[in-house]
Amino acid sequence: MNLPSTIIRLSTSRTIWLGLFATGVVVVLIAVRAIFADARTPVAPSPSAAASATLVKSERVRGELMTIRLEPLAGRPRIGVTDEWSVVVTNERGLPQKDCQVAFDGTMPAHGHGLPTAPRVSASPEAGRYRVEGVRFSMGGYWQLDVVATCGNALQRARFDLRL
Amino acid sequence: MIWRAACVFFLSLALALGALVVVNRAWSSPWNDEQQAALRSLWIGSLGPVPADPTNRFADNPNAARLGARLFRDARLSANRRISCASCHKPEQSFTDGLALARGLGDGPRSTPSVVGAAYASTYFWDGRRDSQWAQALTPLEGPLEMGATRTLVANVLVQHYKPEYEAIFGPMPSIPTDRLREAASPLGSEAAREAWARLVPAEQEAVNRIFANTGKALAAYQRALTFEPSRFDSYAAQVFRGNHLLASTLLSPEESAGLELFIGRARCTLCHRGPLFTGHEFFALALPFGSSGPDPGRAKASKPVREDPFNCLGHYSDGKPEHCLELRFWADNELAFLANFKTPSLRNVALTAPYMHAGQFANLTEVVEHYDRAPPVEFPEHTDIQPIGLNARERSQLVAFLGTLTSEIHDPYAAARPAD
Repeated sequence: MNLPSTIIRLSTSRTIWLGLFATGVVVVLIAVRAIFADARTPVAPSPSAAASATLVKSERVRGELMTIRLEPLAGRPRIGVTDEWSVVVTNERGLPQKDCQVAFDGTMPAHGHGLPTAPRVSASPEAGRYRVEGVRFSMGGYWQLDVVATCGNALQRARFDLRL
Repeated sequence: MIWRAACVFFLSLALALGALVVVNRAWSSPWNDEQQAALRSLWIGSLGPVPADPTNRFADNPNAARLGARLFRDARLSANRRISCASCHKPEQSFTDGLALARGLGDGPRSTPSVVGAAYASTYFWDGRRDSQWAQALTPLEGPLEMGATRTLVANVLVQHYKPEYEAIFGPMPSIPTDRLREAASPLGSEAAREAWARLVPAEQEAVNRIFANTGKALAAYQRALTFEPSRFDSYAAQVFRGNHLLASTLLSPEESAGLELFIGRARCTLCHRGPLFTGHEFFALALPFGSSGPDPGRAKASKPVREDPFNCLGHYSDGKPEHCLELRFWADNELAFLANFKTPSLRNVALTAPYMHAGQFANLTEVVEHYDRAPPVEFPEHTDIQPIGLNARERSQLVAFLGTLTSEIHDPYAAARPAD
């Protein structure tokens, strides 16, 4: 037997075994981590299905027909968070209506209760846009949001359906 | 030889574990996407950090939390020097007491709620009559059926026993003659206490109130630090999210798993018990029978106390700005709408906290689930937020079984704290 070649074969075989050994350890560690990781370790969240919601309606009560748009500033309605919404009032030609008196309220018809908060409406610097602060939904389900806007002689009412 | 044996061992182990991972992943999930999203919303890993409390600038100060933990266990803060916060919020009972009605100096009208996770709420007590955790912590100190202390008594304990700790956190202790503190004085409480309070000059009242308010802020800092460890449900959910469905199936029994499916599905529990703390901290009417303390208006009568509380968010002792006071700014006063409304409690550790509801009306979880399933009608002027579910006996017991999987240890970083000598 040729001595140098034996040495090479021996060391090759040692290298292979060492490699296999290391691979085994790594696979074991990965498997253990995959299975037994801490229950609190964050996992990438699945994409949220919630879409943004702008609610638009026109229901004339008296005077010129206007459009009432209701928008959550957070981009979408949220449960359990005190949020600000906007009411935007425009006339038939799409012109913003300023100096309107705007009232807002929300109820849950199936439960006989309203919002857990008392929202406040105020004018905003942008013509035709009114701030509604303090809107919170206490639970998921079917809500009705009512907006009444009085602009000069025109009285407009809009009831929005919202399923959370 | 050793190398070969080790290799064979590790390769076999790797093969076995690898196979387990593959089988785990291949095992079909019992949950569809919508259900998985519901599981994730309840999972403790979805719980964010404790929200900031701008009304208490010491809320996240570890020294304040340490002081709060000592005060929490200090019975000298009560009229008879035998009742501490921990007498009713017992750490070993998930910070409740196992009683239908809280027992301090007398029997209170409601049960003792847990304090763990309360820092995520924006209103406090069963009826919401306080708007911060530190304002809440002050109320039982002076409650005649709870600890019955006077404001000067509380300030005196702080001056006598906690001055160095206090000053390290809050700055110099307001100066007030010791003999003035020895007199039992409080703007609330007995006539004698109120008269003694009236005899204090405004600067002395301010000093006492300041020490008193900071006592609440330290107590709140401590309670903010209490957290739930993951429960068996959380371990299960984590494995489901990883796709380890075979392993997950070993963590919940089929009955518990069926209960979970009902909880997030047909039984509609998550409408109110939502999020990782299993509560949205909102108020609801539940068509409940009266407790032994009689009819209770709940949230309907909270408006006046919260608005008049000198320690509320808009008050002199709050560190917040008016824009932080969302609860007070948008507080709804409509009494009829909130009649018999009570705050949704967390369901974590619920199996440890019988009896149930705001006055211990139900002895066990079976009775609770039966009530929600039946949803008795109510008469005007009450309304009800629950409707009959239509469960059978087995499904009700599955729900109860699931609630048992929410039990966990509570992490208290200051568990070793003891009152000062």
